[in-house]
Amino acid sequence: MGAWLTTTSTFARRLGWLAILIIATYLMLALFAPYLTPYPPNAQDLMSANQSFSAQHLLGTDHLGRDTLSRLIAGGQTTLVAVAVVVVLAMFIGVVIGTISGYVGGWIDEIIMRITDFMLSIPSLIVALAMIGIFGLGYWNMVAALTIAWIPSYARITRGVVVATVHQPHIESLWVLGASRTRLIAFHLLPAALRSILVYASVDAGVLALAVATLSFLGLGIQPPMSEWGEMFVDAMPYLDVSPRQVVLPGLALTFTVAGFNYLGERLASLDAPRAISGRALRTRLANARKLLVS
Amino acid sequence: MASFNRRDFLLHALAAGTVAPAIFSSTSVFAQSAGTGTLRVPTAREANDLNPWKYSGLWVVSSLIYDPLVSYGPGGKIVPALAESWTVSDDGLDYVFNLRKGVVFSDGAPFDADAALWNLKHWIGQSDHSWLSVSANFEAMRKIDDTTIGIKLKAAAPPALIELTTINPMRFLSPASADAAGNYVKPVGTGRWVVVNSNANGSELVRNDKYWGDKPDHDRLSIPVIPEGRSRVAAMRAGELDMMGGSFAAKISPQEAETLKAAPGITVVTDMGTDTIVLGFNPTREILKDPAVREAAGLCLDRAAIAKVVMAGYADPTVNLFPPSVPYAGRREPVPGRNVEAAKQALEAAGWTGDGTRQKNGVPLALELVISEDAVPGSRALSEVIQSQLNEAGFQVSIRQVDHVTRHDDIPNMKYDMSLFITNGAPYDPHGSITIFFLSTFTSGTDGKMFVDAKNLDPLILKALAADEADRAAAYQAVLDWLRDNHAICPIYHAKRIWAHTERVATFVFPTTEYEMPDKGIVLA
Amino acid sequence: MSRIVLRRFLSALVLMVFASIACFSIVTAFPGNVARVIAEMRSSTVSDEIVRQIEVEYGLNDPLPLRYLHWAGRALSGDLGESLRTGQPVAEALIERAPPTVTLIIGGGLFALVMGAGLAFLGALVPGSIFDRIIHVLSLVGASAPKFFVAALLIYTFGVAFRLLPTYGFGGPLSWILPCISIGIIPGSILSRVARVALAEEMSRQYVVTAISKGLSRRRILMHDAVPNALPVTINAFAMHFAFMVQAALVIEPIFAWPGIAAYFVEAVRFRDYQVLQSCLLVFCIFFILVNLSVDLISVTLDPKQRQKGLA
Repeated sequence: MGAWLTTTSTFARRLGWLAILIIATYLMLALFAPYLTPYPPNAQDLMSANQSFSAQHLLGTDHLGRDTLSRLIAGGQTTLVAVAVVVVLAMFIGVVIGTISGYVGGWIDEIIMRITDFMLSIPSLIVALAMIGIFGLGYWNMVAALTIAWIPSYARITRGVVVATVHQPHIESLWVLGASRTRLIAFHLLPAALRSILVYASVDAGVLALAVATLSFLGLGIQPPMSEWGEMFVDAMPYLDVSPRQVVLPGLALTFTVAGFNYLGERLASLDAPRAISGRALRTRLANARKLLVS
Repeated sequence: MASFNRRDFLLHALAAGTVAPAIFSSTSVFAQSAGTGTLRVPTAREANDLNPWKYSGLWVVSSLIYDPLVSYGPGGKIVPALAESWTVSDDGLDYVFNLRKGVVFSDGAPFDADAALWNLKHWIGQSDHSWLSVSANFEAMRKIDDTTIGIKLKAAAPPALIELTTINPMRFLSPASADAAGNYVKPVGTGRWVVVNSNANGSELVRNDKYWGDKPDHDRLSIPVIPEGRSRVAAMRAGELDMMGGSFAAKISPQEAETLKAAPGITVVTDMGTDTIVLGFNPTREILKDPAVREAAGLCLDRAAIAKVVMAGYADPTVNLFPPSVPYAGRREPVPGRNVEAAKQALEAAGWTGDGTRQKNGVPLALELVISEDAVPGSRALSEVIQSQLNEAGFQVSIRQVDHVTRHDDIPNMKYDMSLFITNGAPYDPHGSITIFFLSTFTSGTDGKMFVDAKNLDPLILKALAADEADRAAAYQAVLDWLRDNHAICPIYHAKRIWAHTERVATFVFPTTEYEMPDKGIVLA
Repeated sequence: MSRIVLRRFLSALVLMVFASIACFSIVTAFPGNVARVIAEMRSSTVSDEIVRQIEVEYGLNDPLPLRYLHWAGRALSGDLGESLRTGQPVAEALIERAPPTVTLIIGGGLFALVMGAGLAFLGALVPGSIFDRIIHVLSLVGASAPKFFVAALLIYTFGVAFRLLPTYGFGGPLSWILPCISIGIIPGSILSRVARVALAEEMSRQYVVTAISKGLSRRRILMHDAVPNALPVTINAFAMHFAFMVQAALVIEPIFAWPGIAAYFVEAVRFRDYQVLQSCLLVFCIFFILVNLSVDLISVTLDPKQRQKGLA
C-alpha cells in the first residue's frame, strides 16, 4: 500500500498540478454532474426562454427556458461518458485484435493489418458517419459507430508493440524457458502495449470529444432531450445574431476540454519518454496530427 | 430590335426551343411586356426532376411552369384554369371539361383535347397514382371535340375536382417536348413561367410571353437553392433575395421570422395556415387503448405556451383537427388550458397509480415518441416540450429521433407509441387527411395512422367521403366529434403561413395553397 | 526506382478494389426497406404489391456477389445508381456538386500552405519573435477548437457584426473566403508548427552553426539549406492534412450552405440513402488512395535515403 502511494505521488508530481486538475475536473464532470447542476438540465420554463446572464441563471437560459449552465455541465458528462465508453471499448477490442495479429502472425496478421490499414487510410469520422448510415440514428448507434471507427488505430499500435516485443531477447529466452503462452501475453506483451496505448488514448480522447460533438452538430449523435455541447451549439445557431453567447459557451467548453486532453497527452508522452528529443516529438506529433483534424 | 441583346436572344432561343421562332416573335414579345426585373425567391431544396408525372420534383417550382384544368380558389372554391367550364353528371361519374381555346404551350404546341388526353394517359388509372380517388376510380376518357374532353369514373369520387387542382401528376406537359416514345424530357408547360435552366444551384425562369392569362409583372424569376435557413436569412438581410417563405419553398422558422422582422426594410407577413400539428397515438398499443391515457396526455399539454414560445407566436393553439381555412373544418372547439391535476385524476381513476412513473398491473406508463425532423420540421424542440409536460403527470416519455429510412420502416409497421403528424392542408383536406390518417382500410405507408377504429370510425369516414354537398358538412362533423369524444388524437397547433419580403416587392399576395409559389398578384416596386 | 513506383501503383489498385467491396457491402448492412423507399418516390402512397415489384426490378433479392458485380460493372461505366431521396442519378449529382468541394479543398489547402509555411519561415527567420508566439498559440488552439466553432466565430465577426463578407452559399470568389479560411486555419496552424519544428531542427545542425560562424546570413542559410531539407516532412504533413480536409468539409459545407459532395454525404447519412452513401464513400476512398499514392511518390523523389533504397 505504501509503495503504491509513493509511486502514485511521484507519478502525480511528475505529471504536474495542471494535469491533475484537469483529470479531477473531468472525473467530477463525468461522475457527479447531476449533483453539480444548479437546476435539472432538462427542466423547462417556457415562459423564461432565451434569457441573458442573471443571478438566477448564471449563464442564461436556452430556447426552451432551460438553464444553460446546468446543460453545459450535463453536456460535459454526456461527452466524457461517451468518450470513455468508446475509448475503453475500442481499446479493449483493438488490443485483443492487435495482440492476436502480432502474436499469431502469418496470414491472419496479414488480413487483419490490410483491413486496419485500409480503415486508417480513411479519416475516422468518415468511417463513423458511414457506420451511422448503416446503423441509423441513436446514442448507442453513435457509440458503436465511433468504436468501430476507432478500433483500427488501437489494433495497429498494439500489433506494432507486440511484434517489437516478441522478438526482444528476454522474451525469446522466456519462450525458450517454456513460459506459458498466456503468461507471456499477460505479463510481458500486454503491459508493453498498454503503455503506448494509454499515451495515445489520452490525446485520442480529445479527438473523440470533437467527434462526438461533430456528430451531434450534424444531427447524428445523441437523442433529445439529452444535452451535449455539439447539440447545444447547433440548437443555438438560429439565435447567433441575437444571442451569440449560446453558441460561444458550448464552443468554448468543447475547446477547453479538447485542449485539456491534448495537454494530458503531452504530459503523459513526456513521462513515457523522458529524453524525448525533438525528432521523436515530431514523429509523435505527426502521428497525432493525423488524428487531430477530426472536427 | 435595338434593345435586343445577345443574352436575351439566347434566353428566348432556349425557351422557344429553336432560334428562328424567337427572332420572329421577339418584336411582339417586347410589345407585350408589362415590365422588366428579376424576382429572387429561394427554395430549400433543388427543383430536381420537373417531370409532372413523378413525385420527386419540387412542386412550388412545377406550379410556376404547368397549369391544371381547374384551380383551387380561396376557401376551397374550384375556379377555371385550363378548363373554362365543366359539368359533373348527377351520379358523379361523368366529368366533361370545356378547354380554354387558343392556349399554347411555351414551345408553341397547342393545348387541345389531344394534348390533354395525352397527358392524362401518363398517370390516370395507374397504380402509382391510386392514392388519388380520381385515378383509383378511373374508368375511361374520351375526346368529345377539339376543346372538350370527358372523364368517366367507376364510382363517385367527390374529391375528384379538388384533386385535379393539385400539382403532380395533374398538370400538363407539352407533347411536343416529349421524346418519340412520349416520355418526359424537359419541363415545358402552359404556365406563366418558362424554365431556362434548373440544377442543384437553382432555377432560372423567364416570363412566358405566350401565357393565356395575366402575364407576370416582371420578366425574370430566379430561384436559388439555399438549403440552410440561417443562410437564407443572411441573404435576405443582405438584399440578395426579394422574398421567401412557405411550407415547401423555403420555410421560415418562427425564430427566423423574428430575426427578419427586426431587420430594416423587411416585412414579415402571416396568414392562417391550413395544416395542423397533431400528437397521434398508436391505436394498437395496449396502454394507448385506454382513452383515459389519451385524455390525460391532452390535458398535460400547454398548447398556449407551445404556440407562444416554441412557435414564437406564429401558431394558433388548437384542439381542432382542421383550421377554419379548410373547407368542412367543423365547429371550433375552445382550447383548454393546461391542467396537470385533471390529467393525474384521470389517470388515477383509470388505475394508473404510483409516484414517479405511474403503473397499472405492473405495467409502467412508458411511451416512446418517435419523431423525424424531415417529416415534421421543428419536431425536436416540440417533442422535448411534450416529453417534459407529460412526465409531470407521471408519464415516462422517451424520444426516438429517426432518420428518413427508419421512419419509412417504423411508421408503416406501427413501431411507435406516439408520433407527431402534420395534416395535409389545402387543397387535400379534409378528405385527404381523414382518409390517410384515420381510415383503417387505407394503406397510408410512411404517413402512418393517427388513430383507427374499424368498427366505429370507418363507417363515419366512408359516409363523409361519399356525402354529397348538402350532407357533407354534417358528415365530416360527425367524424370530428367522434375523434373528440374518444380523445383519439391530440391536435396541438395550426402553424401560421409565414412569408417575408423586401421593399422591392410592392404587393405581396399569398398563394392559395402552400404547395404553390406566390406568383399571381406579385408586383415589384 | 521504377520498380518501387510500380509497386505503389499496384498496391493502390488493390486498395481501390478493396475499397469498392467495402463500399458495396454497405448495401448488405442496410436495414431499411429499400424497395419501399424507392416506391415512395414514385407515388405518394405505396402498396405492398408495388414494393415487391420494385424488389424484383432492382434485383434486391439476388445473391450478393452477383449484385456486387452488377454494381461494380455499372460503376465503372459511370452509373452509380439513383438517389433514394431524390431519384436523381448519383453520378450526375456528384459532378454537379464537385465544384464547391474542389474549391473548398484547394482553397483551404492553399490557405493552409501559405499560412503554415509563411508563419514557420518568419518564425525561423527571427526565433522567439512574435511569429513564434503566434505559431504556438495557434497550434494549441487549432488542435483543440472544433471546426464548426471556428466557422461560427468567423461568420459572426465578418458576416453578422461587420457585414464584410457573404456568409452563405457558393458564389463568387468573395464567398469563398470565409469557408476556405475556416477549413484551412486549423491545418495551417498545425502545419506551421510542424514546419517550424523541422526548420528549428535543421537550423540547430552543425553545418548551420559553421555557416553562420563563417558569416553567411541566416536568411540565406534558411532559403538554401534548411528549407529544402525540411521540405519532405512538411509536404508529408501537408498532404495528410489535405486529405483530411474532406473530413472537415463535412462540417464546413453544411454550415456555409455549400452544395458540395461532403454535404451530400452528410445528407445521405441522415436519410440513409445508401446509393449516395456508397458512391460518396467510393469517391472519398479513391481520393485518399490517390493522395496517399502521390505522397508516397513525392517522398520517394524528395527523400535521398528512399531514393537510394529504390535504386538498389
